[in-house]
Amino acid sequence: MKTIYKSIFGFLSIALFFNCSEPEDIYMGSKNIKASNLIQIETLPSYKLNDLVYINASFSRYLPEEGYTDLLDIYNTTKSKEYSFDFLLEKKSAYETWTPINIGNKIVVNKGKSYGINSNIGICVFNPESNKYEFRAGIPLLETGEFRLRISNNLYPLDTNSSNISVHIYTTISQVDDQGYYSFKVN
Amino acid sequence: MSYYFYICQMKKHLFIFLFLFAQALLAQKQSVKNDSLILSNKNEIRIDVGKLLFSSRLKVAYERFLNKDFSYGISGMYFGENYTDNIFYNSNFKKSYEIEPFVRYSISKNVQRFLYVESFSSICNGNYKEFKRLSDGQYAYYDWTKSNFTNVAVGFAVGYKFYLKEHFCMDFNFGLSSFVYNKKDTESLPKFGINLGYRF
Repeated sequence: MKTIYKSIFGFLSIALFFNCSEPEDIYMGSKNIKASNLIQIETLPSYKLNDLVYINASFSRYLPEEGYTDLLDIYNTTKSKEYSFDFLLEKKSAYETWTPINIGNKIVVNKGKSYGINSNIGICVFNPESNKYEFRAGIPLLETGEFRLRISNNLYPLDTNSSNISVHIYTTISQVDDQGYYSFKVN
Repeated sequence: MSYYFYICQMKKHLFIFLFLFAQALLAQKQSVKNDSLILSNKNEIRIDVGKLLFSSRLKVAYERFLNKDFSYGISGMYFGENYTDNIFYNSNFKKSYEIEPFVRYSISKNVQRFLYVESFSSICNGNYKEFKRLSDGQYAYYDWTKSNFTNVAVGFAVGYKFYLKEHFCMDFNFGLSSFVYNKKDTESLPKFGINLGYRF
């Protein structure tokens, strides 16, 4: 008799264990691609107080994909109207010490959107007329000193729920050094 | 989320049902069983109540007993429209039906309660989603595509069955199988069965 009870509950336990996960009706697909210089820093030869350092991230919806000759339509794939990336401005406060600058709402946005507290997020918004994702914003330089700007070289689509497919873009930024910083001095 | 909630509710009901079923059968158990009466009945039909209640799948089996030790049979399973199985092919896989011929050998001497081993084959059909690079004629894009799928798996199972009142049985089994071709990234396919049956 005990064997029967043990068998019943043993099998039920196993069956329930393997059946207790939530059904995954939503299945996400993702691709990673590389594209050069999708983000640029519009540099100036020298900087003075109240100048703006512009970040420009305007890129086509049609991007090359390694291993293929035809271009990949990232808008058709992701159905996303926005791509985002991070950037952070730091000021040298002491030797080898860098302090993040809170840009806040002082950033001057020409195209796209931006928000953030400690680090800022740039959002490239899809423009159906140009078939481009567009972002251009200027960071005001409100203090003198040594600064460095770090920009993430990964672009992520926002709001991909309608397609469940995400295309992550790894890009290069030609103005930054090996550590990923663009350093400059404000006089 | 509502589907998950529905399944969990059904699991609770199954627990209660099986517990009461076992209690009822055990209460009716007679002190001396007539093995010959069980053996004289050569046919059995079963319904997998686990699948029916856990995931709205209907699996029905027929088993023919050759002698005390050997039997063979076939089961068929129909998958509801909303059934999705992620075990297979590591993507959304939706089976339409599954046919499973099997051969069993009892490894116990007892006729009323015994362990058995089973060799089975599973022929299944359905469709599954694949992540593919497609082209609109000018530019490429990625999307999920639906592909039809038919495959055959072979495997082994072990199980435990007990009879009460000569005709009614409960049958539990667990097994593993592997696809014969187009294995892709799936090495083994588990199966579980919680069956209620009637022998006649």
